[in-house]
Amino acid sequence: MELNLDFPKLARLAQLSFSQEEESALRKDLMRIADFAREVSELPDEANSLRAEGICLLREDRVGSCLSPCDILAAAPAHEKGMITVPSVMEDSHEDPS
Amino acid sequence: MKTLLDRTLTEHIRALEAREYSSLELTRAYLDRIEEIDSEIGAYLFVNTDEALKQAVASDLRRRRGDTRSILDGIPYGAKDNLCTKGIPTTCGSRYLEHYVPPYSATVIERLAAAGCVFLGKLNMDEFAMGSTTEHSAFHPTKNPHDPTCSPGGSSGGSAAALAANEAVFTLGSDTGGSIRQPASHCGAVGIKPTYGSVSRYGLCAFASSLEQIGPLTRTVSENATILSFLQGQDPRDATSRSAPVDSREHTIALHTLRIGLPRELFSKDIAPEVRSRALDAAHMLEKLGALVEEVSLPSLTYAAPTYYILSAAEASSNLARMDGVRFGRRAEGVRDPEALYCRTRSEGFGEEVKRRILLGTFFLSRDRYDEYYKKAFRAKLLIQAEMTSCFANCHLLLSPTAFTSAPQLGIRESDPAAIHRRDLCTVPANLAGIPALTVPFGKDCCGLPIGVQLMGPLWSEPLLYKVGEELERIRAKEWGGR
Repeated sequence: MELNLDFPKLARLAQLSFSQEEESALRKDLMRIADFAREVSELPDEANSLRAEGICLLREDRVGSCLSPCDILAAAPAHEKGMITVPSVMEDSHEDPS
Repeated sequence: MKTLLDRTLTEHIRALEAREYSSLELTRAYLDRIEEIDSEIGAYLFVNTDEALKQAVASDLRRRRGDTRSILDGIPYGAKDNLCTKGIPTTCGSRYLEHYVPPYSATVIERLAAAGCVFLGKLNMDEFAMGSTTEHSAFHPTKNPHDPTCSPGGSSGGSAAALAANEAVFTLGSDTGGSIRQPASHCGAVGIKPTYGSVSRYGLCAFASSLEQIGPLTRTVSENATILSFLQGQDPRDATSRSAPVDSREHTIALHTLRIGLPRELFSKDIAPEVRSRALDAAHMLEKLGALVEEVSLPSLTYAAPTYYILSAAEASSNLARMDGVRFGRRAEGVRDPEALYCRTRSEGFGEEVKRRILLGTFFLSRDRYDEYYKKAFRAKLLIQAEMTSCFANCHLLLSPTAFTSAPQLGIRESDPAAIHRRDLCTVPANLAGIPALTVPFGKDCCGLPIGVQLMGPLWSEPLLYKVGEELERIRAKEWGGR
């Protein structure tokens, strides 16, 4: 079955980028796997009445030990003055506030 | 005469207790073996030589003082590289984590350290556990010690190959859809996917959290039971972990009252005839010992492979969203805005298979496709769970082949990715239902490659699986001299 696929949007949502060549190979794979996965649409009606058992997996909100900031920073790709650095989120303003 | 490396865990435990040899001698023997053979097999990604020798010396000292930590004190082992190890690289077989050194250890690593085990190193795997041949490791493929032109299976291929090449006494793997059992089957090892929640996953790099479990790979069934007993138990750091109900530990059924089901759907015509025959041989031999063996049908298993693929890809796309180049791991250079940082870091750091699954998971979870794929797959999972629960009301366990074939040749590139996922049919039902499943070697194919037989039981039925697994070992020893 033909799959209506907005590949650039999907890649953007997945935060991945692909070359033209990779995209064309992946499109074929996606079609095949989506067809395979669509087999679950033939599920019998009885499956609609099934509900997952309610299990509360939340732990108590209690203060406990955690990793030291030094350990966390040591694993970070870039840090400065005790903080993880990232590229600027907001563009620098060059306007004079006065 | 048996060399040090040919001995079983039980023999090592006895020998260490009797001071026949020391943990240092044993650890050196394994490190020498790794040095000698691993450049050919490629099971290890990191060998913990200096630290392992220190741990062995400390173990020998404890033994001399009479304060050993457990029966496992001084026993050397290796772990799959998706288990965090404090101060030791943990790559998950990915370029993204190539230089990552975790600041903490997984609970299972801590438990084995507390038991006095000696840590030999980290074992190769398909990147982020996505694959079934270990060829998707970003670093190198692992070879099957039974035939180096063949794959050891995956994703815990390094764990299974290390065991088969005598490069560890036991190893740890993780199983999301068969990643312990399939490589164990291909390498002639015993492997278990325990009951969901029985082993803490704190410190396991998450792929599909609703499906995966950590478990041991060993040479014999009793060794596997021993190691699992050290791993199991509730852990406050993993909210899904639970302790086994007390009565399940004492759960015993005599062989002559055992009812074994052979699920028709798991004896598909696509399974290699030799592999299917071995599973049927195992069933017939258990029948001769008094077990009642009958064919059963679980029609919902028709949906097991696509259901597994949808749920695991969806969870992978969510779990791997944290790999964005900000807090740990790789970061793309020369990027000036955050969106480009995430995108370039991930695109440079992830391999082809991981990107494909993230993309598909994103597709299955997208607003327009959620009901058609994810919601249906979630219901299919509930249906499979319900059907298996009612099946276990009539039989104590299910027996089937573990994998569709014996170990495949390395380097075969399948053109249809869906065909690869269909071959996970025998292993994925246990992950979807959360039940335990054990693979036991049961003979070899015409090329001398091992074949495994799988036993699945209801939640917390590990003691029964081990008991029947040991019976299969005895049959194997009698029929084929232990092959």
